Amino acid sequence: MANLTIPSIRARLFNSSKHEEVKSSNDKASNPFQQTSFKGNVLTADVFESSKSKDNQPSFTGRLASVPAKSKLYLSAMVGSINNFGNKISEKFHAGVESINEFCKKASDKFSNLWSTMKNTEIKFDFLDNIKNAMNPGVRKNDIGKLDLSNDDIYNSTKELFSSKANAWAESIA
Amino acid sequence: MVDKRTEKDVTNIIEGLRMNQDPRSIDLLEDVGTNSSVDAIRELTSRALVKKNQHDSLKVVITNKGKGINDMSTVVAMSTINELLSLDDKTEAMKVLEDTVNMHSDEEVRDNARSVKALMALS
Repeated sequence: MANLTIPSIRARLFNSSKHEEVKSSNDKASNPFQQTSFKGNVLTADVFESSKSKDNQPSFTGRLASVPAKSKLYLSAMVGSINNFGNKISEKFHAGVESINEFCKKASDKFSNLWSTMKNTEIKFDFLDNIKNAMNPGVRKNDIGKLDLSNDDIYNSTKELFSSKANAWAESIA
Repeated sequence: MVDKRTEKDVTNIIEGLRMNQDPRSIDLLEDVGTNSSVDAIRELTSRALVKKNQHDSLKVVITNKGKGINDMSTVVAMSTINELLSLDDKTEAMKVLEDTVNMHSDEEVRDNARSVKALMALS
């Protein structure tokens, strides 16, 4: 018949049995840092327990003492995740710093290349020629149509103009 | 690649000579245009001579070997024939073709003229 009085239950809860002590010592033997290892483990609820009075000590967890044991498990899991989150933030921060360094290096290289290209490039104002061509009406067919070709001078100058333009066309596609 | 300005100038000169009523405009077109090494210039010139629709201008593109309908370039020859077929008044062209078929010394020129004449008769 089990002893279900309150003192006996309290004694059972806060004092481990022989079997539990043996198991605990075996675990310690296989991994002496298991109790102190935080990474990858969900902390036991006892991590929030203090041997001293909660009222006299400033506590990060605040009113954890009044939180039920099941909730403490969730909170301990949250502490573990915060630990992981911190590691990730740290990794991302380092990655970010490295990417910034890489970007600055690339930008510096590109600016250097641009500068050397600019120094070695002869700038030509082609658009000025284009504007000049656009302003120049060129040869007008109505003017040619009205020319008095019976005049030898006009005939010869027209022939010379036609020949020069035809030759320019031929040279451009040669 | 030909300069746009040059192309436009040549086109305007040829078109201007087509519009010019002076008989010497035909001489200019024949001397410079039909003797050009550029197919496009020969094509433009041949079409301009056909559009003039005068006896002398039509003679240039019909009776001369290597020019107009007898050009080595198929594009130029076909373009000239197309222009002949597009004429509203084909009387002068038919007369020149008839004379060429009957009197020209070169057989190839005669054959070409005969073919074009047949086409024009059908059109």
